[in-house]
Amino acid sequence: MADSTPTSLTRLMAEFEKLPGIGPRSAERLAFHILKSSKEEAMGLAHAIRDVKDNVRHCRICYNLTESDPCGICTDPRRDASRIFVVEQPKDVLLLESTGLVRGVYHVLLGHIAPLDGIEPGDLTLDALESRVKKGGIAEIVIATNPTLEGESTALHIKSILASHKVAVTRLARGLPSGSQIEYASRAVLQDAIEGRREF
Amino acid sequence: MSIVRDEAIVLRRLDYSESSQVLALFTRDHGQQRMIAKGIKRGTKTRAATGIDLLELGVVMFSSRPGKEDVLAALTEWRQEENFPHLRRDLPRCYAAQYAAEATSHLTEVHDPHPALFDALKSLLALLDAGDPLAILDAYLWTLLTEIGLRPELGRCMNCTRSIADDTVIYLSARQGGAICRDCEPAVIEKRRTRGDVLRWLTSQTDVVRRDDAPPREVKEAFELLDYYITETVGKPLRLADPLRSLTGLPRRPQPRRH
Repeated sequence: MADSTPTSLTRLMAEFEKLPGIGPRSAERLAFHILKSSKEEAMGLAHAIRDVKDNVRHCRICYNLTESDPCGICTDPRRDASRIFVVEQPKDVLLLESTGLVRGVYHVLLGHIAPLDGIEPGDLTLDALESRVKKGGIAEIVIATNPTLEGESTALHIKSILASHKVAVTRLARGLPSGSQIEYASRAVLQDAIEGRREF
Repeated sequence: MSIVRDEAIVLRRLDYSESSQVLALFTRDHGQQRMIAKGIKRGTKTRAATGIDLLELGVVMFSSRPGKEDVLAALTEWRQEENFPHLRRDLPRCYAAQYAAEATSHLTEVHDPHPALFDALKSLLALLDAGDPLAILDAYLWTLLTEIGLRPELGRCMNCTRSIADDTVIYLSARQGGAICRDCEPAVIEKRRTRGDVLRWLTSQTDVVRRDDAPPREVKEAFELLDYYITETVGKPLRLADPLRSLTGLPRRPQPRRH
């Protein structure tokens, strides 16, 4: 970088470069785009960043991201509060919501158990989940963790801590994704699909 | 740049950027390999259609640069052969398998092939579908230490060299590389007390096979002994040690005796 580049611009490029998936060239392009855009547009971005840092927090009940605590899902009377979908990350809530099929509420674990990476049950929101179940009124816990070894371990752990409670524990189905081809499916996916087949 | 094809087991997986991962694979003929799997988390590429999971067995193709072994290789293709679904249905089995993977990752060198150890790890992952997971893990860890040349000498005292075959109380020292008899024990700082029956069970583990008649007490004590030995050898406890201990009813890891 030439010394003649304004310090503010260099700083903006450096900040963009810290973002995931942004290299030096992309950072440079974004910085110049900001420079060329109107002041309102640029300040809109700046304010959006400030607001997200100032206002977004975890819901005290479900640990999803929210600006109002408890969140809109937890306080929605049309939701079936007796069915809790347990997910790893807040972005999983967005994806499940996009299906339009979930009428229950959520519980975000904020990760998964991964002893190899030093992530233990105490690092997640499992105690809060158990407390919700202990309070009563929960009929079903739908475990929607990822179908990876860590996600499955987390699911097994949840099942064990809820074993003493009168609550049904279910797991999202697995198998062939729509639009895929059997030719390219792995053995594990086919095993899941065969084991999880249902009447047609 | 050469393309290598080998059979492999996934030991570690670390996220790298949004859709890529760095993998530590234990390959049959090329030892442990670290490689980057670009875009693997998207799961849309036919070269690894569903991502790559921990402790999966598959056929890997990767590019490596001869003479530049310290540079990450690049994964070009992965075909899953087996994902050992029983590990996903039982936590103690899952953690036993992860303990084996962590020990293998720490105790084998990159680019140092151990085909027999690879076969033993493959057997362990398959055999963990039934029986006592600690018994199978004991046999694997014993094979691991044998294969890498760090198996402790348990037939004689490392200090006075006398046979300890009939002793009831024996000590194990990682720094001494094997057993220490009761007479020599006071002079050795780093050690762990055990029973002769435990050592005899351990030394009878010549292969990773399921033994339905494995004595539960000896199996547990042998695991504690191996965990102690590996901790001292690696220089730190394995991350899976305490989770596995708590699931299998073992007490927390005792601190090594030092004076």
